[in-house]
Amino acid sequence: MRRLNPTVLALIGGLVILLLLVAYFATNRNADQDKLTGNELSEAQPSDPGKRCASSATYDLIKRELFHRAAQLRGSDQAAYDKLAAYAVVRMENPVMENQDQASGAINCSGSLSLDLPPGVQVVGGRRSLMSDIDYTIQPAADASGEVVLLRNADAIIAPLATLARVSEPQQAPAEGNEVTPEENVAASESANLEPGPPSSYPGRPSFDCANAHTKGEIAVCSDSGLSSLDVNMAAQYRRALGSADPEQRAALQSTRDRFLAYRDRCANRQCIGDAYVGRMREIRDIMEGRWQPR
Amino acid sequence: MNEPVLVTRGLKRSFTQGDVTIEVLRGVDLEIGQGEIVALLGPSGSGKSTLLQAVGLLEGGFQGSIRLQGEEAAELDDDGRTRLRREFLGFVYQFHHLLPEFSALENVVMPQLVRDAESAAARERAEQLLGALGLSQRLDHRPSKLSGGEQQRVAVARALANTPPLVLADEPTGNLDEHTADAVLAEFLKLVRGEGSAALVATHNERLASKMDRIVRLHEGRLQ
Repeated sequence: MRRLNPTVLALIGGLVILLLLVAYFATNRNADQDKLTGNELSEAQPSDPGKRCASSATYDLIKRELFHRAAQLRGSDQAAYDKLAAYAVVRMENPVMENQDQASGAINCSGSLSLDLPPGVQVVGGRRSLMSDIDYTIQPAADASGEVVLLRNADAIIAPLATLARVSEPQQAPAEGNEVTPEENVAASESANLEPGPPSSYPGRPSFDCANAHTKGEIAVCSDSGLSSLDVNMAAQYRRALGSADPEQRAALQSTRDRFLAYRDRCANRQCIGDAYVGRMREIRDIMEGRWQPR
Repeated sequence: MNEPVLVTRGLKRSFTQGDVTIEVLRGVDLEIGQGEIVALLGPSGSGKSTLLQAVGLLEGGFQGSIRLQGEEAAELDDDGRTRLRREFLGFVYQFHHLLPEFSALENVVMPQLVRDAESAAARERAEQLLGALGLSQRLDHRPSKLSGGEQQRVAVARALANTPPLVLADEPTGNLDEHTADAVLAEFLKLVRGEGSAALVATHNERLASKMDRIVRLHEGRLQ
């Protein structure tokens, strides 16, 4: 067997050392990948604990936990509730960080939560919105899979949410709104069929004539069955409210209408338009229930 | 012989504060038969609420056995305990815990819908219960528009809405004046008996306790 000369041996040795160094630094980098930094952090949770109480990631966790617990209370199909959760909208007013447990990393927060259900479903009393002051804790999951949210004092949302039922589908888009919304209680065995409104409740026609649509918002609503059904619901609610409003409420309903339309028509995407409709429906309700404050 | 609705054996619960451990329940053995109304008597801080929390499957951290309608609670997961609460228990608290955004009627309809009752039937049942408690004219009132006695009557109707085999009541009239407390308790007992439910009623009031079928006393963490 031929012997390797010393130069070749030195080169091989150097290559091995170089490979070891590369492996060492690569391993160290992997260890740091569990720590969210820079862009990764901005895409997940903000580092400021107070801001985490008010982050969209936290609100999404809250929404999912509300539906999870409602399904559990109902003894219903979790998947059906999960599906609905994706279409529901959670809003939080005055989110406040109460304190932080440095040892466990848990952040205790509170706020006034509103949950707006998607079209096509409702809870006891025909409601599509639920509101309550709640307390919530953001903490690392026990299995280190991310973060979880624990809810306290949320029964005012969870209990009615557990009565979720489909709204019977109208035969056609209602000319005078959906004043009569006979409900069909969803049995546990049927709940897997629960679908939010956009795909099934309406054939995609909004409350106005799409042939005359000319604003950006109107065109977007006409081209999206989900937004169309929101528009039908909002318009029906508006008509009902006008029908029973006193002069002061009527003036408030009309003065806020133009502002809503202007806001909707400035929206750059579908989410913004959907949120605008949900907010408008809550505004109408607040006006009629005496909770509305002029801006 | 009919199986008891509730059996506890050796039920223990302690709380630790710093270096101090307080044993609140030190081995509670209790049986309640079907349709039996039992007063749980004891002074404030004696552990009555802790016992009701345990029996109501509202908190963990207990040692011992709790059997509800023959089902051992310790063998159930979270979903199973929720099912037992939904199907077998009704709750009345000292403070009514009604949902403020909902009317009296809706508060009583709600637990029935959670159990998949048909909407019209749930409403009829709620009207019947609230009517029996003298609230026919208050169906559409929100809790904030009701008096304390009326609020507690709605809470009683809500607890009985699904005709639970066992009603757990924690100082149900403790927040009311004596006259109203007597009236609400009398109506509560009449309704519970009429429904054939059993009840465990925590109270520190000997006079109210004497109106029930049996009295058990909680003393130093054990029943006497």
